[in-house]
Amino acid sequence: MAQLRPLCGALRFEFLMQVRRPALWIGTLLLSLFLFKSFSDFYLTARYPTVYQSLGSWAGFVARFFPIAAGLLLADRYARDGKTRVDALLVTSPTSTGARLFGKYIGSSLATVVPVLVIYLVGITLILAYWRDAAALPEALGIFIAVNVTGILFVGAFSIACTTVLWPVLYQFLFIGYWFWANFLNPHLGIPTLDGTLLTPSGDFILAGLFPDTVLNIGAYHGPHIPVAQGVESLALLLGCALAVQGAAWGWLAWRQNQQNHQ
Amino acid sequence: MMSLSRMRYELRLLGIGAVLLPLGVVAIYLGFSLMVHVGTLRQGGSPDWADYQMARGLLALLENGCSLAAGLLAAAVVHPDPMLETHLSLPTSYRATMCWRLGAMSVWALAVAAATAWIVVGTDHWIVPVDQPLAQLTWLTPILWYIGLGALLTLLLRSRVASSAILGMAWIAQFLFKNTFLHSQTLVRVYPFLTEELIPGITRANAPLWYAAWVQNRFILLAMAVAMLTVASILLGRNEALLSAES
Repeated sequence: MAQLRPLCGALRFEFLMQVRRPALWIGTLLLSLFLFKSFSDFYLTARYPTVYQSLGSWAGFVARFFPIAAGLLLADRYARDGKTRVDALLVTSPTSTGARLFGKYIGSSLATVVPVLVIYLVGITLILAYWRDAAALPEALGIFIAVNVTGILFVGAFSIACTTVLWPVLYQFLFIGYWFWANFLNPHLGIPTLDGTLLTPSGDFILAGLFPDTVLNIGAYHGPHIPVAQGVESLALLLGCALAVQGAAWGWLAWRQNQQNHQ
Repeated sequence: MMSLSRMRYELRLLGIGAVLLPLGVVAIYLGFSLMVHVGTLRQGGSPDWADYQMARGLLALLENGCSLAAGLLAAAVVHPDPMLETHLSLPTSYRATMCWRLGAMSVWALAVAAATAWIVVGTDHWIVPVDQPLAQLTWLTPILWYIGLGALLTLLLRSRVASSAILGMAWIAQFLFKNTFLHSQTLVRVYPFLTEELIPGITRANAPLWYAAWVQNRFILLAMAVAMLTVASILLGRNEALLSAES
């Protein structure tokens, strides 16, 4: 409980540092210009019988595409402390390693959600204006929290934890490869993949399980009906993995600190 | 002329990661290609079909795997040196040092890809129906394009991480929007992974349908890579701009 205030402080500072970075906004928004150029061809068409299915398709795309930027933009957050030589200074503060790590994770991940939310809301506004149906807005926000925020918290946990061990450039390559492997690879190709499982990070099961009215074409790699329980299970598994990897990073950093103290 | 000891020092500064990353990419893609080979045989496919599927995996390694790794490395290499201010006060120009580092990294990435391509050709897994040596533009062009893009974005945006994020999103977008690229007369000319997406529909027999577009695509991308590297080299000489980069 004594570490709650330092954790909140770390969270607040990391959030503000990340949200003010031009790199965050440029990295996320630059390719979106290309995306919105053909937005109407993809989402404002008669292909979708209802506004909810159009929203679901847009949310699914955002959940597949933007966590890449989030994961890459969060990969330098831990390494930055070493590069700016503040890590040694932070060790001397009364804040524990865990509070600093967790505050950094939550703060910078939530800040990375902000530009994605902006892009998502622009898309939602265009869809709702096309259908002239503002009643779907609460569901659109619910989808964003359940699917998109979960996805970013999942990749953010790995980006911060893995770069405590790995060189950020190596991690970034592995992360892009992982994202392709876990979200776009056909499971029938002969290569084991997370695609089509409850651990699919783009949240196919969460979307189909918790918001069944949004699904037009049931995902190619899962059955025609996803029960609510499987949606909840997928969400809990993704967040559970994020917490587990943060816990592992905390243990590793505490052990390393302990070793340094004994030298 | 750079002395031998300075060269050794610069290579050490590049780090072991820059040396190992291209090799790691080859190992990862090779592993996945072998898995596809085994998976195809298990699903009852013929050995020839399994070999063909593996060859497609090796083509993916050469065209998109090596290029992404090289682009991310280039984005990291041109990021301002921690001793930038000190370096700017030295008689050796900062641009010369950074161009040397970028060159060394590029030569290594290209050497790994060239050795891989040589083995692929030697083991009869080369499936691009274009005469040698022109066929080697399959990997040479996207690697140079990604190196140019990675370096240029880091210098223009003054941020390595923004550059990496855009490279990563562009890499995934090139798969996600492949139909948009392939069906647009303009975008198909600048699509770095054209070979991989044209296969298996292209053969020597139907060359009039695709050959000219493929060659045009490779040379346009090559020209873009040269242009991007030239602009990057000019930006490396703008000392005041370099000093305000993001940490």
